[in-house]
Amino acid sequence: MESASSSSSLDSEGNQHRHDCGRVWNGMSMDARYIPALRRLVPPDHRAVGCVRCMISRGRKRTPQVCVLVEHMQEHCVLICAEEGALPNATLKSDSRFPINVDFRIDIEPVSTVGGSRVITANLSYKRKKLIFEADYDDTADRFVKEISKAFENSKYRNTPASDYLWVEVYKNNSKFFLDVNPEDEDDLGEENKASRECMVKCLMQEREDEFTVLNEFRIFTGTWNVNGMAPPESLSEWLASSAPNEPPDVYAIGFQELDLSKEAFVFADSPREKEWLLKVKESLHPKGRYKEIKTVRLIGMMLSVFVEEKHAPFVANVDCNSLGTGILGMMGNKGGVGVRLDLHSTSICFVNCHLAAHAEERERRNQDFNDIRNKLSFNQMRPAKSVSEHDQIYWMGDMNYRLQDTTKQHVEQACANNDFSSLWERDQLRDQQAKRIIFIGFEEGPLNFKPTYKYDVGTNQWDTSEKARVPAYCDRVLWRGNNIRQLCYKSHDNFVISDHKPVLAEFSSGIRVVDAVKRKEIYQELMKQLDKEENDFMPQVTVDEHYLNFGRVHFYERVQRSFKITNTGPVIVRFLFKEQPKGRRYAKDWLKADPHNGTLKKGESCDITLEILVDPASASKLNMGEEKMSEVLVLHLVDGKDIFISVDMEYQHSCFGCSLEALVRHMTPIGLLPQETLIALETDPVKNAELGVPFETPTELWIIMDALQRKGLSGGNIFGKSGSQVEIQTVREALDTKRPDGQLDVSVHAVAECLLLFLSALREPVIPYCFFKKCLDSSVTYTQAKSVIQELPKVHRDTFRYLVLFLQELLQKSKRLEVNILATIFSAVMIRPPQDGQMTPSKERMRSVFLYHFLVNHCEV
Amino acid sequence: MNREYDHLFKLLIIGDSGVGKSSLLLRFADNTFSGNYITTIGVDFKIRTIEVDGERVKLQIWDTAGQERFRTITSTYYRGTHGVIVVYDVTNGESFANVKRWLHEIDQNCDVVNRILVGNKNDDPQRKVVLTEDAQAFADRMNIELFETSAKDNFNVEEMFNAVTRMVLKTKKEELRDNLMTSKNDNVRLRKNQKGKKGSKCCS
Repeated sequence: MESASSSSSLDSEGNQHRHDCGRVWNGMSMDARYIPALRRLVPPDHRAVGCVRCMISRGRKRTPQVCVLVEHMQEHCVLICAEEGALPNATLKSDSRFPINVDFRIDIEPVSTVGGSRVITANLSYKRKKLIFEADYDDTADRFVKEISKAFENSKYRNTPASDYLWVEVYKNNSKFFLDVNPEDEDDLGEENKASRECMVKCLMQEREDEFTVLNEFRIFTGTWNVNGMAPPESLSEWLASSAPNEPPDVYAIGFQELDLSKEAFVFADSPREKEWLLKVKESLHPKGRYKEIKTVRLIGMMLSVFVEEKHAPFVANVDCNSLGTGILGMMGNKGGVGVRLDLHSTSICFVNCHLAAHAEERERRNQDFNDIRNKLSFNQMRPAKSVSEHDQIYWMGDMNYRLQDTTKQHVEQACANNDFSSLWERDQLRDQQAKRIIFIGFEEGPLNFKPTYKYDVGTNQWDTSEKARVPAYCDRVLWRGNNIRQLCYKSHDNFVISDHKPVLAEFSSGIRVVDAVKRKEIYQELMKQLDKEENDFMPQVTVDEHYLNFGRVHFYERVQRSFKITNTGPVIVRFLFKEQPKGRRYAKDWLKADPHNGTLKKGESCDITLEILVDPASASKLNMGEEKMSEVLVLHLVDGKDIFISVDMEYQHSCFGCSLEALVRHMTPIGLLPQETLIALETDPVKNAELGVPFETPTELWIIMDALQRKGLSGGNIFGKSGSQVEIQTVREALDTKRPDGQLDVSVHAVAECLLLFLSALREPVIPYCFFKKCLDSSVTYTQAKSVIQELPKVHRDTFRYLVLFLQELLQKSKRLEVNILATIFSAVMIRPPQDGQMTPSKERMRSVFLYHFLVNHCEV
Repeated sequence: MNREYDHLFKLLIIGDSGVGKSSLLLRFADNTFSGNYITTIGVDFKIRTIEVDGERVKLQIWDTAGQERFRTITSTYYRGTHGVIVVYDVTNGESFANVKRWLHEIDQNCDVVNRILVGNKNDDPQRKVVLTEDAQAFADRMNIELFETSAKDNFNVEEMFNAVTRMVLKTKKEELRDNLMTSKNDNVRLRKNQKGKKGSKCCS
């Protein structure tokens, strides 16, 4: 899980998170309950970094609001939002914006206790706008505020010119933006929702950590000593193992400064002193504990070693260390810090050992050193990298070099003699700078009930007797930050005289969160269930007002429409489409069409889908014969969701359109009046089931059409130039199927002409039967060849062909405006059709047209 | 890498219309039950993540329309299914009689798949017509595990889904092991061949 989204990973790892979690950064500064709302609030190219519920006071007004930190191209802005609706479906609307730039200020106040609960307070200002932010103090609020102050710190160091923060404008009227969110975006959000589930689990588990962890007290020993480059003394036990003879520490973190002052230590990584001291430390650890060295890190003279009792070693994870030099050019390492971090059970711990700039007057330099270490020391093996401040517990030790100011050596000696240490604290630079919130913000330190640890004459317990007669100082300190830490002791040891510093130790009883595996599993499962439910709830949902559409009786070439309504009733945008049928078949049979056959529906939106049936020449024959079922189940598929079945039924009225010539010439009764079984029998075996003993030469239907055309006159230009209306075509079809009209058909010549073409193209077997198709094309070279093919046709086909050719010749004579090659193209397309599996190409089309052309221009008999 | 789940399985619920396929799914995925009967006209799915033998399994459970007229179309949903849950209604003898057809349907549409037989609506002894003994005898004969459940009373539902998941998991592991064995054997064969080639080269 990549989601240990920690506040400082923002700059270096920001991109990675964007991939993992999308635009809402599901980190520790984020109240996860607002994630859905933030997804709607924040446009795609922005990123929500943190979000907490808080009280905002402007002047006298104090209102509950939600505070959001957003980022765009490494610029940040604080949004104060109103919450509309109840969680988790709340909507956020920003009512003021605080861009984090030169005009921005944040001042975090120490955590205070109000009516039994802890509250974190910060003063925010932008130009002349001011407000006070208060939130219940918890990890999220704490990190959120720190995230803001970090963004503010970073904004100072930006190299880019001051931005106009135009990107913030989008939040000015974000209720409008919300409405304008386009479908694609909303859909992206759906994807995001999935991608972030892992982050979400981790985040929610963290939120409930208290429920499945117990606090166990661990004894943590920290020690710091500036050893002035000396070799170790006989034993360090008095320092490391004497404070509680029967209670061995669980964890040791021991820091040294000036461990090695040799030139070699500056130049080479290796230091013989390191081994010497390390060995001595190991010998001197508490005799009642067995310790395992977890990590030792050294930067020139600064060394930090961490040991844990062996029994705890299996519960130590993610150990990492790093160092940061703040000396000359930030590299020379004679000053700086080293750190070791680890997870002990479920508590993250960071130990820092530092050596800050020396000399009484270098206070600012020390402050700078401290802040450099705090901001720049990071543990890069962690993914994402962790900074010092991103730990539950921080123990910070070292030779901080802060001095006692405005005092004299005599006064210090006097105070120490009287055990009046508190009078010295007031003069301590570190405490002064900390109170001014320049350094060690959020850190605590126990009372300094021991003598200043610097500067002694080496080999004595006597303060500096040299000419300089330095004022003694509390250079060597241990501070901590974090919850559940209780200091047990904080003292120095006078008996070590090898250095001009005395060693200092601080022992703590620290609450370490230990996971209750059973409980954790329970909560995890509960959480999974909850997330599953959310995932299920967030699936696309629609209702359909009709699952079954019956079209009733449908005739050939009759366009019939029915529609149903689909409504998005779910919480997300829906994309729908009609799914392909099994075996790669189109979404419906050829005679059925859905419009639209795919689309997008916003929440609550409806759409009418029209289903249209049109039995065209291609389907007519199959339906006539009952070879194709007159029903269909359409599968309406919701992308990433369910499928809905829409059933369609119709009853097709069989017709002369779609019959074979063989069948048509053998009966007298209009086809429409025959029962379908009779028609099927007739088609199956025309000779046996014939109604007429001596068949017609050509179908009566064809004759009727030709006759109608003749009567309406063939001279009126291109009779195939226009199509007939639906009604007209149905009139002709009805006439052909049900009665034998003797009079005029009350339709335009164009309608009759179109029916002729429909009739020919619907024929079960074309005028030139399928098996002659290839031969036909091959013989299209000369008229003689073409004629010989016709001779081979079955009689009814040959007769029909002749009849049609004669008609077309007459047509050409009467209508001077008709061009012979156009007519040849039109009629060859319906008379000479490729077999079902045959592919048409332009050259084949040309050849069949030429084939017919021969007959139209050669006025001899065929 | 700590993924959200270790396995993703697709389960399919089939059976006559009205036996309670959707109710079983709703009970398992959302822990809800509605007495109102709504025919499923289509195919719906829900997800649920469970832990089986220490492994996190994400189940995608497909609920199909049971009506006869959709038989052809629903059969296309068998593809890629790891486990099929065949449901009948213990208060409806016909739905039990049809189980055979449903099992046949599975054989026709899936190669190797884990199946489980579920007699749902097992909450009113008065109305029960398919006796446990008969169902059990049939299940034994068909070599299929039987569960009697009640989506309404939330009886045996969790257990049934866990059982089918465990079966699927077991099959997957066996397949993995078999594949591993085969690939190992292939390696051996390959090496032998290479050796042979080399040898013949030397000789020539």
